[in-house]
Amino acid sequence: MKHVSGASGCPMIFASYSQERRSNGFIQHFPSETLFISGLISMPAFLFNPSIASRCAQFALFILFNWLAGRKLNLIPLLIASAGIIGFNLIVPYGRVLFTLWGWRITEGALWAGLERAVTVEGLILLSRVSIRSDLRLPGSLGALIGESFRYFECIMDRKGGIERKDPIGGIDRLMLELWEARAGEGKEFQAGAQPRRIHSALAYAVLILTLGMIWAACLLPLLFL
Amino acid sequence: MKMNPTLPAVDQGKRTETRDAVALLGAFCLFLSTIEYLIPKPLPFMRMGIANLPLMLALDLFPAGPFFLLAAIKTVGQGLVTGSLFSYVFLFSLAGTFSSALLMFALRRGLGPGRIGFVGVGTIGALGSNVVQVLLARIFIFGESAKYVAPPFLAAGVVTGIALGVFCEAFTLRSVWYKTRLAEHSSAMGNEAS
Repeated sequence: MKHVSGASGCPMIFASYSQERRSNGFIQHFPSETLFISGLISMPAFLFNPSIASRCAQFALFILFNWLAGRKLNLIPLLIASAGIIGFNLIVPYGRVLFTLWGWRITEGALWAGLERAVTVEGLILLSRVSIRSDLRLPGSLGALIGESFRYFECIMDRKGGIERKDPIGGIDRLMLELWEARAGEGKEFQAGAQPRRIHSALAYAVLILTLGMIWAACLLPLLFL
Repeated sequence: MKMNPTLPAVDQGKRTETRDAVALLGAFCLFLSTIEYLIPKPLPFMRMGIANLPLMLALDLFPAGPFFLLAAIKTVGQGLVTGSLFSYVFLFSLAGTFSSALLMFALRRGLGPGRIGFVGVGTIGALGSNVVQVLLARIFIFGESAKYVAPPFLAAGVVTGIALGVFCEAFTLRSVWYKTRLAEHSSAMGNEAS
């Protein structure tokens, strides 16, 4: 286990070697624009899927792709957040009473609604995490300005060790002054980090197209047969 | 950055400086977003709002255009850094950031720094953001149960708003970078007025 700054720009704290390898491999095979478009194509298929079982299958695919992308998967926060959403939905009971827990009526309608919302919210987060990378360059002047912010951001991530817990204000101020001075020089230290070499693999694109097909099939099949 | 041939060189320089300052504060929004991302939370959209700190600093530094541009960088950049651009979290972040930015800007400019400090601005901004997010949570996640989430969520907003305001107040008193930018902005405003 070691501390690395992910090539995606996102900090990967205590990422394992294999996780780093998966992340770099994913970045090499899939350009950020391709992933962004794939995410856009997948989103409606997930969001408008009428079957909860089928949506769970899509959810599993998103988890698999997050793992392949070398994204850190924290199951505990995911489960806590899902339990929170289901729990709050159970507060207002509707439908058949399934059982009573310390005087609290657990109803079928509320449980399904909570489950569906939890899967949707968490699934969209997983889809978003795999299809959005910080090296994605957005068009237009806002996109250019966001690009500049990301250049500063990479410098901040490189030098964040200078911000001490004892004096965060002094540390942040020193860092801001340093970056403000460095911007005029546009020196080597202000250049964005090197990106891994790109690999154009037909197999990688075939896998991506197959996955998109599966995601859409999971949405369309219940519509046809339900 | 593209130069505008219709503007004099001094104005070009001022615009470049403003643009650089917006980009730098935007980067700090992204940095604070990554710190916030590492803090466990009971609900995916529930955030402490520490990434709003650069927005509060920008209140007295920029006119409306660059200020709201910074809010846009914060929202979109946060979506890219945390990978939430395709999720409800982005919608919550967008609505929360812009409602709080609008409230904070209107209050600070309307009342003036003498009448409302960063603690007041931060608290009202956090409350505004949380009210909008609770309304969205009612539509997308919790339905009727949102009324049970609202009290702790709003109370958390008050606490984090005050804490951010106190930190921002301390930062503006000590920061050399901030004082220099504020002095430049004030002299630019003075020149425009004269």
